[in-house]
Amino acid sequence: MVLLSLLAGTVHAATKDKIVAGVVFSGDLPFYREIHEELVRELLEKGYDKRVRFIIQRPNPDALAWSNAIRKMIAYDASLIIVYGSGAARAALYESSSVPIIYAAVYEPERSGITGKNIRGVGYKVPVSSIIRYLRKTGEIKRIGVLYSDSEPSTRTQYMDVKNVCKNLSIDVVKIPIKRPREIGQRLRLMSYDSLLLTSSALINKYFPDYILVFRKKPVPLATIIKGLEEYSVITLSTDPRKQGAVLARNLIKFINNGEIGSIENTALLKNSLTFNMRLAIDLGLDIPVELLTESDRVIK
Amino acid sequence: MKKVLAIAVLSCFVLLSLSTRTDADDMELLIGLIPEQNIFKQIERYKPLAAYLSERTGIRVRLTILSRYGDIIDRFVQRGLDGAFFGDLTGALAIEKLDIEPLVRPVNMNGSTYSYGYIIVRKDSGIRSVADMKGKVLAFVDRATVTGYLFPLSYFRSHGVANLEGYFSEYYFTGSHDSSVYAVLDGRADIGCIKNTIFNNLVSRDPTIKEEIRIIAKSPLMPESTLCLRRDLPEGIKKMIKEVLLTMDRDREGRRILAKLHAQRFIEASVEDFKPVYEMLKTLGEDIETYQYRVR
Repeated sequence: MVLLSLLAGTVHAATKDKIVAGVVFSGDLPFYREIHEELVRELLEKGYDKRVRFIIQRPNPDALAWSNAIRKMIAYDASLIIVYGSGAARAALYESSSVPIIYAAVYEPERSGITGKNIRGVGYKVPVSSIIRYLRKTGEIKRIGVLYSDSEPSTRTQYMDVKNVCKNLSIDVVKIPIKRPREIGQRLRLMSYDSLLLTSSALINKYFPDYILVFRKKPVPLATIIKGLEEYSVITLSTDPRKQGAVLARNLIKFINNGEIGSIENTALLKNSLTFNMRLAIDLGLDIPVELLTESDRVIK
Repeated sequence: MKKVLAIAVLSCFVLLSLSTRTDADDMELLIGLIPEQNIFKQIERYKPLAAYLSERTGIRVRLTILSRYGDIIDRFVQRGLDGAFFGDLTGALAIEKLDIEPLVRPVNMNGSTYSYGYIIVRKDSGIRSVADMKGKVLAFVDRATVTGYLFPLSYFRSHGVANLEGYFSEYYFTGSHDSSVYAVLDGRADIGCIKNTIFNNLVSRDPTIKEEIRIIAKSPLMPESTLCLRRDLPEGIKKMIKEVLLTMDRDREGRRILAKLHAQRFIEASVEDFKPVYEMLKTLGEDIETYQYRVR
């Protein structure tokens, strides 16, 4: 007990000794894994790898599992909690108003309500208008389905952004909220749309491949906002997870050095990379716009 | 030996007859294009003009597009070009380095015979001044353009940014003006340097682009794409080409082709048109003779 208290005391000091950082993924996605790998690599490179011990949780992408994971971290008396994605970030904010939280990979954090005195981090913004613009170049778009999750506030922000962009383009936006994995298949089967956009939801990105056969019954293009599903998606416009990881490392090092969450500035990475799956576009009989061929950072042939 | 000699004499005769031909029916002109827009669009835009010129003059006009702006200077002789539609800086460089003369330049749809450069950002980027650009990603077009490189360079210097490397997190060359616009729209770059006419063309096809872009700075007026021809081409040929281009707005077919080029008509061009380019170089302390226009 004494030992635990001592440990707790040294952990909270967080200035000279090793700190314990609880890490909670919003879902076990390659996108988040890449961020974490970059974080670890940067810490190693800058000589901070011995100053932090990570306890990692990759819960199922649902609100209850995120809350449980965060509670475990609080019970473990972690010096801070690192969260990837808006689902885990929101759960962390609900569970504690005092434990320092550092986030990464949260789309438009302020607009999505990921703010507070104990939370700082690195967010991103993907211009959904560009995705819509490129989609329209592949063929006529009249009804775009948007899959999002109410448990992940950033994904609702993305839905609102799509709606805002489409309002002047005579494109109907079909709202497809998802609470459980099996709803993905059900909704894909029942809803009517001529193109589909997956928001950055951990739940949707993790389970969408399980329902790919249902989706493929309709020959419509898919666009995605985070990397990971390029195999199924004609257009992917995504922030770079490695850059998210690098900024996260910088923020964590700051915290290790002074123990002050307030010393970290919120930042947003606006730089994105574009992937065009030309092979899929041909299979779907879509137009191949020159812009996608010339502008894409990666073309899948 | 006699056979070899006979072939050599015959070859000389053929070459001589080719190089001295003046009859328009035998003539072929190879015109170079710079990649102002992506190369597919650029060819698509100029192809009808080449066909129109061929039909009206009897001279077969072929087009070739260079992959980079600077290539038009380096490869003009190598590729045996007879002329080219030069941009602002490539035109000035060509006048200095190649024996060419300006022939015609277009009058834009808005009646202007000049274009200017824009420095653009996304409206939602929060960037409103050079101070906000620190640590951001910058997309130029090519070192061989005023609107896509020299003007922004001069603008940044006048705002205290002398060292691009230290100020921006990254800068790169997109190769064309429309690529710079798309790079900013997609968030692949935070700041883009472009030519207004290409921006306007994109906006005319997709008005939503204008709603997303903020123009931070505008350059002085620069000469529009100018058709220059080799000075040593037969005078009769140059006169004929010029005459057809200057009068093409008088017939329906000509106007249709001009519309594809986003132009009302062509007007006569002169070396004087490139004066603003020399002035821009001067403000940067650059000499056109020694200016390093190649993107390494």
